[in-house]
Amino acid sequence: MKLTKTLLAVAILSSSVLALSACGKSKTLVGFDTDLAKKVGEELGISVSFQEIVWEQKEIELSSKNIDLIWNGFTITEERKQALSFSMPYMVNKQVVVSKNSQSELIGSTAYKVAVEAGSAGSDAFDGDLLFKNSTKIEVTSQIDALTEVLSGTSDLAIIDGVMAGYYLADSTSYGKSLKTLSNYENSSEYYGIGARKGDEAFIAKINEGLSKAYQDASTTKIAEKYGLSSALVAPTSYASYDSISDKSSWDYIVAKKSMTIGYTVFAPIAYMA
Amino acid sequence: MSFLEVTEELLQGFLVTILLFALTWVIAVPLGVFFCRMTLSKFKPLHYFMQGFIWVIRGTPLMLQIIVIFYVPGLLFAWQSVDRFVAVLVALSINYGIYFSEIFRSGYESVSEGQKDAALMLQFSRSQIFTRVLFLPILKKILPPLSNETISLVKDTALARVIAISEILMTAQKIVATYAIIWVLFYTGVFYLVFNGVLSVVLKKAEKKLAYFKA
Repeated sequence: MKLTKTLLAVAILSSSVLALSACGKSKTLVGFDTDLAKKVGEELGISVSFQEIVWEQKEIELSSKNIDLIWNGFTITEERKQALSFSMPYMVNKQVVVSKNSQSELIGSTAYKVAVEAGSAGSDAFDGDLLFKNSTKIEVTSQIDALTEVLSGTSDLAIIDGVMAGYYLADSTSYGKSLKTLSNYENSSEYYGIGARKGDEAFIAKINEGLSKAYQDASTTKIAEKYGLSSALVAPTSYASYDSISDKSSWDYIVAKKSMTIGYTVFAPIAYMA
Repeated sequence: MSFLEVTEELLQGFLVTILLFALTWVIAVPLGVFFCRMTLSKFKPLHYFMQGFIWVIRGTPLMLQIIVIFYVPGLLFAWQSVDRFVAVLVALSINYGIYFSEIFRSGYESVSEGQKDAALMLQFSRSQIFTRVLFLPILKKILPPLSNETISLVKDTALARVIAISEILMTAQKIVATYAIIWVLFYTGVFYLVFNGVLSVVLKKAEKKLAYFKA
């Protein structure tokens, strides 16, 4: 009993201390994808809520209806298209190879240890490139962990999104001081899109409509400028209009809820607290 | 981000860790007693059911149990999932309830039959036998393994991050992902060490108090 009391006392004490310290300042979720999602929600007249998720669990979060969209620097790939419905692309991204400053340029048949985020486009880039045929792939849980691998020397290289690399390798960060992007690595461009449950075509048509409107009235450009991503923007492509889709249940579901829930993980400059 | 700001943010994550730990412990101990009673039941079907249950809970990773409890209702039955925190609390409580129940069972079975027989001879009732004769020797026996599991529980709360609960480790990883400063991740170890240090001292004290009773 004494033990229980002591534990409860600790819990109560620490919670009151924290309640005091938490007063006064609160941080909000910002970032390119976050701001763009809010703008699109505004265009569609639907409120937007954000649910933090764990990246490996994104598909299961979607199918269990805990979230309605994966909108988090989500690369459109053929494999993903088979299991999910995608919006039009809104941002271009290249995979880049990061190494320590001391690393020389990449040499074909060398055996590197390469850190990638499990299930990421970087992981696919590793698999599809002959350059890495003698190398070992090390799968970690996030792109930032891949950078930590390189920094600590447990891996030689990391393959991550170019959009992220620009932000994380800024001079002031733990990574920027000792890591660099290798310039002789070429990878085809890929595009960020918004993922929904397979078959949610009506919902995706509405999202595309919102994306187009936001782009046309220059809101997208303004948001991109705020996060230094202007050069990565992509103009809207043509898309299947809402009226042309017969099964409208997915959009009806959102309208009935009056809100769409967006799954995100914290990674700057896409979505982070500031 | 300054050291003070990081500390403040990590403290908020650590509050979730402590809350998860304290609530789980308070639920898992009575649950463990209940599971133990069911396992010791002379009613065979109940006994075998508990054997199966113990096998499932001890035989699968806690991380998987958390994922199942949170996602399966939505996936299979299209039910609204329970709150994330509640899901983790349920998974941790059941898991630790089972481990605790096995500790309780070993404690109960270690007290010699002679003591129970002697008490019966002295016309003690069943409840008197438990409260006056068996309880303290059992408590003394089970305290060291219970302390072990208790400290394990503090660390196992970190598994909550698998369904995106911002306990201290996930909070730290988010700071790393936002500001690209790494030391934050290792700094979390200090919080665990301090808390488990205090906990160890309290548990040692309790053990000392019971040292008077010979097993």
